[in-house]
Amino acid sequence: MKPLCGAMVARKSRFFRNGAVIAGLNFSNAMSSPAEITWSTDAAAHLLRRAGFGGTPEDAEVLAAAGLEGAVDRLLADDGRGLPSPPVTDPAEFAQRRRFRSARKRDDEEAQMESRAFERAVRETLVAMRAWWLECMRSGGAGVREKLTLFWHGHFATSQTKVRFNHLMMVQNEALRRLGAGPFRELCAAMVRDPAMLVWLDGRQSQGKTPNENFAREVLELFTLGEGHYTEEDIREAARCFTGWVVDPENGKSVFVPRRHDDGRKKLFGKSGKFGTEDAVDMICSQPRCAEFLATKLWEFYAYAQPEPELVKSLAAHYRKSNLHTGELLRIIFTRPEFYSARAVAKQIKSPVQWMVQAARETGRQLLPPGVALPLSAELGQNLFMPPSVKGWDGGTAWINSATLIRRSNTALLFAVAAPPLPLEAESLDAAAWAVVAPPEKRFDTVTLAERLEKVFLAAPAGPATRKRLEAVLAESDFPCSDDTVREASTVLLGCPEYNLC
Amino acid sequence: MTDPFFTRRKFLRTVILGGAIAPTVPSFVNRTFAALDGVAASNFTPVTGKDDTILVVMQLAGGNDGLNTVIPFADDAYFKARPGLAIPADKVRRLDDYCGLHPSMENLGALLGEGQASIVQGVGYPNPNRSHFRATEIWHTASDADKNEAYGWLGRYCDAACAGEDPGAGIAIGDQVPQALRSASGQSIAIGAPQDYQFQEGMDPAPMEADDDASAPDGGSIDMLFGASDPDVNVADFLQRTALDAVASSSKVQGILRKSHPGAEYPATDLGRRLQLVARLIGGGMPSRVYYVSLGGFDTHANQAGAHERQLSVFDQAVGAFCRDMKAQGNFDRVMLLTFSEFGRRVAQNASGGTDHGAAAPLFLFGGALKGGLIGQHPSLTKLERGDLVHHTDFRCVYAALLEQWLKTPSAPVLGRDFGRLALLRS
Repeated sequence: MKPLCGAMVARKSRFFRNGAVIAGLNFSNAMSSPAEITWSTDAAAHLLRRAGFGGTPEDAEVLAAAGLEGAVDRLLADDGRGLPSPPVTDPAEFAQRRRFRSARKRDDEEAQMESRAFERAVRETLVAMRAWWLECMRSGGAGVREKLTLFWHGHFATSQTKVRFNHLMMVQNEALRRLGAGPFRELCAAMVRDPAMLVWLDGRQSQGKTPNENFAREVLELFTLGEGHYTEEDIREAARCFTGWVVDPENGKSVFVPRRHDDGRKKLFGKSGKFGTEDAVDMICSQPRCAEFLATKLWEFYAYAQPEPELVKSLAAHYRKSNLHTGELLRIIFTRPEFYSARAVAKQIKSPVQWMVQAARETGRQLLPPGVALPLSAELGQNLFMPPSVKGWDGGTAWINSATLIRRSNTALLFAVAAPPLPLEAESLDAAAWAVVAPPEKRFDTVTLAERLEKVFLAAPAGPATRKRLEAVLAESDFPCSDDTVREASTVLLGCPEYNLC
Repeated sequence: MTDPFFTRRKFLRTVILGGAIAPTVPSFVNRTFAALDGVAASNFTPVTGKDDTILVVMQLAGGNDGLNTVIPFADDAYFKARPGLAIPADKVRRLDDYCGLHPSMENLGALLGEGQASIVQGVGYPNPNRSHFRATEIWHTASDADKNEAYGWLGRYCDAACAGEDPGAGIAIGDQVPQALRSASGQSIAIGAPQDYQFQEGMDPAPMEADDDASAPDGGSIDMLFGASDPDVNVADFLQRTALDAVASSSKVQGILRKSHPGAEYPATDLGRRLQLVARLIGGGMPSRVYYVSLGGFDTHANQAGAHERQLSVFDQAVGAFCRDMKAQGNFDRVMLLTFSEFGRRVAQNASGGTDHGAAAPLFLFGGALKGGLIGQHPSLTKLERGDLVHHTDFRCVYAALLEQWLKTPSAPVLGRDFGRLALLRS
């Protein structure tokens, strides 16, 4: 895979000031001025959390030493190599299930048993897919490509509940990963004919002169332009352009069937012609609004909600100029002073996936085992490969309510104490983890240890109540302190409300 | 002494169980949600009464096809527009000489017969929006189609009528508090799986299979809709406040669930489980006035017939069980269930054996206090707007009636203006 974006060639900017690396603990370290960026370890840690899934304070120091442009270059050079190999899925799943369905109708008992075994295997594969993807996020470099893939999964949100074919979900996931950082037009064209998408939004049933409007509407409303930037006629006409695609049950690939396509004249965005699928994609992506819509959504995912109108204008202009090259837009986002401003830093609520992957990365631990991590992720509101609707996850404050906050605290406890039902082998990883969280030289006194732990776990300084708790725990300990003290103090931070911010 | 299990147990004992802690607050909470000093869970003082009327609101997410739910079987235009989807007249459960129910709606039919359910026909609003998401926001906030509101109509009701610091004036069953319940004071809580609604010392992992089965193969690209989220909130404060709500409500909810028992058998569907949870909370004396549940899978653009029938049946059976439960509890006269969908569907079917997004549709009410029966005329199948049914009753008239007649609160401050009176209740 190509890097997300090529290295910046000595691009000078009046915004950047590559000063000395500041490793201080002072979080108020001038990250609030939108006029310029004060590059520091804290700024690098912020970049690491948002562009990817965070890391240890040492990871942030290494990144900080590269300077802002160097750091962004390094993150965007993520070429997706070295990921664990994905679970094997069956391209003929589609046809298989169809055969079982007809066997069920015949009352063939043996076939019914096979069918049940097949469905069980499908469920197990889905579990393996989720665990695999979480592991990619945890172990794949800084996780920048995986974070972007997660963004696109929430954008072209497709759920296995309706698609039901794991292979199709994996094909889509691979396409999002491969094309996500390139030109949006290519990604969009791939999604228009993506087999999972054709099932998900009924495109494979859309034919003739009265096509169904499901896919066309969501393309315009959710994938490219946003509500209010097209007419109902545009939807109907785009739906006609998209007719003719089906999914081959034997290999799970999409096929264009000309006789199912409406080849008549259409009127789209005020232009008329015998537009086909590719034409429609071109016309949609070249709407000026498309760059603004996507730039806003990407900014909101990486930085903060409701960006200033002039910021959106500037981002969209860059995006258009780069031919909607998303990797290029990411570079702009990660080097904007606003990205490091008080509006951004420590103001984002972690998604459940971010929560779990980040907790593992900042402690140098493995993820919770799939049997625990996956149900938890679902209960916290983010089931990979199963977004709640075609709009994806709302994110932000929508992640948090009384029920999910209780579960997050319970998860924190689970993670920190390796309590049952974690397998015994998790225990052996434990000692190593606490040495990552607090190396021996940080264990000599309360102040040093508290500073260290806050640096490991919190994006913003602990609130007074959390700090009091932390001090109470540390006051009971002898110094240099044991793993148990580190664990106990870490539990305080993993479970505090502030831990949910990144 | 280096036995890892020993270390772990010792840790659990000292950290989780040790120390001087208030008996009502789980110790882990005491450790982590430290902002709670001085706010023990025993301070939970309900400001809402436990004998008051209760409103349960259910969204049929995805856009229920009203025309194949309340069916104008005596109208030729219906069969002409839907050659492949029309329900034959002899299969329809007749309500009068013109329209009747989808055959799968056995419970609704029976409840209508007993005057314990109402159907308000032709409900919508001016300039209907055909986006799931925007239309959901409009229904959740009761705003005009061209306006955006941050808070929901039920949230504004809680703000206006359930003053105080009572978390749980409104309860959403599920993973997310919908916009309908969002309020300035943030009193609403969400409960997904009841057994998880407590702070734990260790956790049993939930069973793995539960969530993968209850899916609709068609119509399922909309499972849940929550409305818009609030970008203006101060996230740090929001987290602290929600943590307080969680602590204050979890022991209360657990206590109520311990002493309440199901009074009816529910179908083994997600909706059945959700409504059963509502029933247990009501039966156990939870002082909440408003509950919110959702059933997805109504976005039937393709192969509608089977998928729609299945969803209607899921709906009908779960609601039937809930009504039986309320009767067994003796609460049917103080509980009202309102269902809505963000829009109805196009009158004419499409080429995929489905229907696309439409406008006006019927909504349903269930409860012992209702007048019962059909309210308003079935909208015309020939006087259409862009191929869609035209509404004659603004959905906010229904909201206003429920606020005034059921929740006994002035509707104009909640809905922004007066939407007139629609008589829903027995006098």
